[in-house]
Amino acid sequence: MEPELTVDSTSIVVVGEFMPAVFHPSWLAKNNLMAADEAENAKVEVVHSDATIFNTEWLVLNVRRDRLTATCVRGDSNMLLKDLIIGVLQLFPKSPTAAIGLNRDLHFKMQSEEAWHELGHKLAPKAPWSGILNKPGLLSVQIQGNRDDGKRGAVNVLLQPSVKVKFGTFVQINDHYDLRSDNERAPASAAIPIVRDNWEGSLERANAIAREIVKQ
Amino acid sequence: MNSEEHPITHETQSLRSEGLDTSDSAPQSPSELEIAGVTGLLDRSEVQLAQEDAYKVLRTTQVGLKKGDEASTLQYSKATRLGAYEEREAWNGVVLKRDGDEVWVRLKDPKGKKEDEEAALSMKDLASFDTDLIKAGAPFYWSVGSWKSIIGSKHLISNIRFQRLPKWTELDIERSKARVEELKKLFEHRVSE
Repeated sequence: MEPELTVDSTSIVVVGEFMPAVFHPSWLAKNNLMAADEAENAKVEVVHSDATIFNTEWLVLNVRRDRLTATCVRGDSNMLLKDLIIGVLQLFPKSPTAAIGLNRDLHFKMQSEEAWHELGHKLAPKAPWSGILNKPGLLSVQIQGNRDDGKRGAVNVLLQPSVKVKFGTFVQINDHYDLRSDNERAPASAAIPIVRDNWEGSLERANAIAREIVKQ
Repeated sequence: MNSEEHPITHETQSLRSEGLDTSDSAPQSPSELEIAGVTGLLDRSEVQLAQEDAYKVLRTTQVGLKKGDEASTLQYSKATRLGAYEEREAWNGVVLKRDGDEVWVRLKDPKGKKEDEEAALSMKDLASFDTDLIKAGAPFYWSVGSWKSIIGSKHLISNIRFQRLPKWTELDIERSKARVEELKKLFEHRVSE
């Protein structure tokens, strides 16, 4: 029996310059990035010059001055997330952008408490801590891999005990693209092909990486 | 070890609001809490809960809300919205024609492993808020699968959603202007010949 995927969400984070107050659901609807009915029924938490947060049936949008985070909480709507981000980037093509991350967060329920501990021991052997700490336990492990597509950036994998699932393991895959060149930020339009051409592949790879780690 | 620095393009595992007491004063940042956890000031579960609390306080402080107002800011993470979707079939579609209540479509396997198919969908099967987009040439996504919530309920899902992109963007306008200039030059060149 393999660990069971229990909670799964995806997100796209754009690091750049934003005007949070603009990102009201009705503005997205006006620009054809959201249906008018969806915008009307969105739960708006705050719309302010420093931050905008609202959620819909499938989306949580959190815009701050230095980053935009769009989270898709329903796996059947991942393509809508892709279109939303491409649309926003198209609307602000010259906006300075430093990086973009294509992310997947997965919580797995382990087969048993023993399997949960075993994974922690495999990824962070306790022998080096023997005699130094009393009952050492894995709290967080983060590994970075180089990109293999020639683009600047990295693939970051974070593993922690899940805070949502008992005896669960949380794995976050951050497919990170650095858009800066000589410390100069790129126009937002440079991020469009990254999202357009890599989103589905990135999600599949994230799923494969996470499953491979937790079944060790 | 890898020492190269990148801006962070992900969020932390800190989006849970249930069962937290937000009245306690929280440390300044999740990273400080991690340090506190490592040095044994808090046990592991306390570190996690405080990280979440700190994240909420940071966010609400940034937007100028009082702590008492923050309970609803993370609605989406309630148990009913947490779960995993298992996709069984997916198609990328395009509308061929709309004929009354019937919509004729072409369906493509996004992985390119299956032959294209043509099908007729009923308007009743489509989201009412996408009605204005349903015309010949309109692209859409169709996903069929099952959703299992964290509390165990399972639902079969068939979700058809039409692609939404901005109608006219700054890029489109610039491209159009550039094209006009190109054609103008070409026309002037031919006239001069």
